[in-house]
Amino acid sequence: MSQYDEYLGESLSALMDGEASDLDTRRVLKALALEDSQNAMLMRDKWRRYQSVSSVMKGDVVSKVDYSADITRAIAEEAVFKVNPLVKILSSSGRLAIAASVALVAVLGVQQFNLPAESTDQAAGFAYIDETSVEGLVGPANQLPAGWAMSEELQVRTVSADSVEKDIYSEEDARAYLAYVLAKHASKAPYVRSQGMLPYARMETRTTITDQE
Amino acid sequence: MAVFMTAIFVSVPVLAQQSKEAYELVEGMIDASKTLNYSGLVTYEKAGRLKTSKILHLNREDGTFQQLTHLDGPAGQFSWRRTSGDCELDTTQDKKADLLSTLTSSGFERLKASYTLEIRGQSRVAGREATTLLLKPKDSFRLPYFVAIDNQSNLMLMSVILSLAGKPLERFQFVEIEVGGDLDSMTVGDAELNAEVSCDAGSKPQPLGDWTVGWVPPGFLLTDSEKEPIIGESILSFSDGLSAFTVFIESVRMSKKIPPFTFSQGATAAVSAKLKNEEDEFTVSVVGEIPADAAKKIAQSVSHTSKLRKLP
Repeated sequence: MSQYDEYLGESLSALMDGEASDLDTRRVLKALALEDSQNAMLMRDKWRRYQSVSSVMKGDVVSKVDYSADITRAIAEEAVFKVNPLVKILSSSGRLAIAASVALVAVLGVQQFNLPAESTDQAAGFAYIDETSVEGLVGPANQLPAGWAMSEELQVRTVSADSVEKDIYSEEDARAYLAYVLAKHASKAPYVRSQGMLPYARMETRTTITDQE
Repeated sequence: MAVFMTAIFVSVPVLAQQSKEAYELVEGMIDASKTLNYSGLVTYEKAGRLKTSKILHLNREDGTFQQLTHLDGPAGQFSWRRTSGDCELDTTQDKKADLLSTLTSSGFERLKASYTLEIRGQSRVAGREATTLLLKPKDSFRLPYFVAIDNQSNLMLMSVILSLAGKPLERFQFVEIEVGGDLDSMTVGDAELNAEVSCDAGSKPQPLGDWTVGWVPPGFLLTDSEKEPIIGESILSFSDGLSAFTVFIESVRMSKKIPPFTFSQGATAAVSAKLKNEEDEFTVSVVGEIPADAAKKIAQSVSHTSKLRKLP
């Protein structure tokens, strides 16, 4: 018995007693990995014997059948259910997308009322207009007309999360009022003949109209 | 040099010609909507939402009948009848309107004064050949329109309102349209009307005495005014022949419930501001398919004869 086999025997014994170090465990596993080698066979026999002795000492039933080979084969033969990496990506990004859209809804819900008009990019995600016709169109600079300046005190205040108004006005009332003026405006705009029936298309629901007319 | 000069002499008349055609096209479009009977399916897209509707437009001797049926979302159908003529002010009948605008002319004349018209090419909408046209505002108080006009009937088949930077804000487009045919002899039911608009002389819009809108963008004229008797709200509608906005002046009681705000969805901007006199506070709201900056400026120009101060 070589020095190595001696160490191996000690490691196996330690593993059996639950006192094996990392080095012991690794040494045993390494020997067992060489399945057909003399050492591996010996080790397996020894392990089985140790287990039997231990069972007898504890008064457990001792089986003489070696299941290990069958179990190994069964595991090898088991079909592997592979997961398509794309599905993984999709499902994870799906979760992300949902989370993102929930966040977006939350943000939009607030923004619609809180932010000045300029900062909400309503054009995002709009269907493509078929041609390049509008390319290069830049409207006139957003400038104030002659003789008019927007002073701080005249500025229209917007409702923001930290403004005092929020506490005074009910958001529900404010939203109802906004819906009302939008619908009322839509019902007024058809006076403009050049727009054809476009303004009608802006109308939201039947109730908003019948309530007013 | 000779080539260069030739290029100038050739291109100038071509441009002028194109512009003339563009004006004729828009004039034809307005006429078509006054004279033709049509029905069809339309899509309306704004702020990431798409709505589909069915529309019916019938011109009869006693007025125009219009109906819109929503095909998705909550069920709804609106019907209107306009008894006679245009509801827009015309100069011979109301001198007060002159105070509100330096321009005093028909809707189309005002449209020409406020927008540059440009033919952009040929396109196909709702299975029909159409000419696309860009209506570019001459100032920053209104929005550009990109429209497609049917080559055959002159009806507007598509209208896209763009931001001043040229991004689409809302889009109205026919998917299918039927012009004339059986529609010319179709009878109009009276029972299903949601609203009746009468434009005889008695109902011509009058500026509301107590309130003055100090500034509207050039070219906009008062097209309608109304005083709500119960909640005491004054409503003034303006149009430049293409775009429209509405000014709401709320009573003291209503104003207590309305915060000042700025809102925009699609091409529509809504701005609400406060006006104050010694005792009371009023709310002025401006809603329309105009840039928010213009809406703000209009809201701030509203004043009361009793010299209301703007709220600091």
